Amino acid sequence: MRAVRLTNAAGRDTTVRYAATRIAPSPALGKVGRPAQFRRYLASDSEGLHEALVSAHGDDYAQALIDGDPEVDIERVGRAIGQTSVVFLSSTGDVMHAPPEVVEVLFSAAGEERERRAPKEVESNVGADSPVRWTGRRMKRIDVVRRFVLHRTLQIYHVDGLTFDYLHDIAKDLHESDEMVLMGGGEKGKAPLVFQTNGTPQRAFLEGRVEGERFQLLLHLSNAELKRPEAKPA
Amino acid sequence: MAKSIVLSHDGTTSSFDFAKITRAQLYGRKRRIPLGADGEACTRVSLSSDGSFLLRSGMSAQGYFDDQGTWIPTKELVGIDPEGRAVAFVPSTLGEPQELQGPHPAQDLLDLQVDAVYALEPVEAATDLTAALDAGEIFSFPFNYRGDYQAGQAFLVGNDEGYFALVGQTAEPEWCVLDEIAPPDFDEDTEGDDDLDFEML
Repeated sequence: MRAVRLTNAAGRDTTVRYAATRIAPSPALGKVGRPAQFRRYLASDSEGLHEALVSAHGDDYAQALIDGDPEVDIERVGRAIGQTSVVFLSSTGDVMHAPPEVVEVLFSAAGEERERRAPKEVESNVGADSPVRWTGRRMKRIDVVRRFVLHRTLQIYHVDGLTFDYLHDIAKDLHESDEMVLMGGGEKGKAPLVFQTNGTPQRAFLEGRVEGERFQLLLHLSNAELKRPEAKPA
Repeated sequence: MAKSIVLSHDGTTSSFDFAKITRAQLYGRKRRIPLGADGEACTRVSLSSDGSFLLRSGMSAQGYFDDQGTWIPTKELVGIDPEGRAVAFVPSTLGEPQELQGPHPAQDLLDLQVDAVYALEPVEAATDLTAALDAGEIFSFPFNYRGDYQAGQAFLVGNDEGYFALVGQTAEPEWCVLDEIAPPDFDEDTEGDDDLDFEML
């Protein structure tokens, strides 16, 4: 579990731990009594790709495939592919020996290119120096689930007796009011949370549940509202 | 034409057309493009660990193999549970009436790990159901887009924008008690009101 500094309604912060909630894994695929392994393998070499076949046999190369299997190099096709390294090829197909420059392209919701710019690095704002702050903005649970897509949940865990009381109090407050509170990051504590450099910024809503002396404190993450895309112009 | 989502509730049947919603459709998207020295886009490929071949798009495939290295055709694959027993096939729920469960408390939807969101368009919707959704009630139903070995769950939600199905699997958070302190585990994978600015995300 990772550590996170969490602030309460009084502005006091402490360091606790968090982990993603888990779902049951999907059943593995295979045959009964015959274990199966999922593998990536070489399906064709470069001479078997469409462009190479067109240049060797012309546009209509179907009969050539039937007659001679030119797309199958029997020595190589079927080989398992293990670890690989990323390599960039220039527009002329040559291996590049220096890292490429990168441009960031922004597309509108309609899919049109809006802007090209140098990539903007997005720094993480969740860590030992950056508490996740209580914004004070509270919403009923039912309002949150009807307005936002909450696609990921992190569960907050105590690390000792003091943090147990600290988290239990937060959970009890939220549970009894049936509310969730918006948590924020950054200096002002209002920015969306970024858990790792260049990670997706997320809005975060803290939810608490209490049953007697036990509690659940859950940070629900969202990067979208529950709404329809605007209709594209005809 | 794609089949509809058909739902039974209090003895009446409603059907909805549906369309998947992505974040890019709502807010746009960013893409990083590598450029070569000539300013033209370059291509990302993979070099095999022994350096013997460059893998371009279209050169690899994937599949299941037995311990002898023999490929297993997809039609022969079945779901296997951790004890090695076959799991029952769960057919697609599309076009088949599914019984609505609920209304649920918001907490049940909060436990859903959402994989997909669909906007629903009522084709024939019972007024009792739409009235309940408009009033903020939440329902659930079994959902499997295509047949496989794991039953999915969907929650039916309404708001000012319309009706939506949120599809995923339910997680079960743990209860924290005083004398059980979770140990640190640094292998853990940790990704990732109207004036909340989602455009900025």
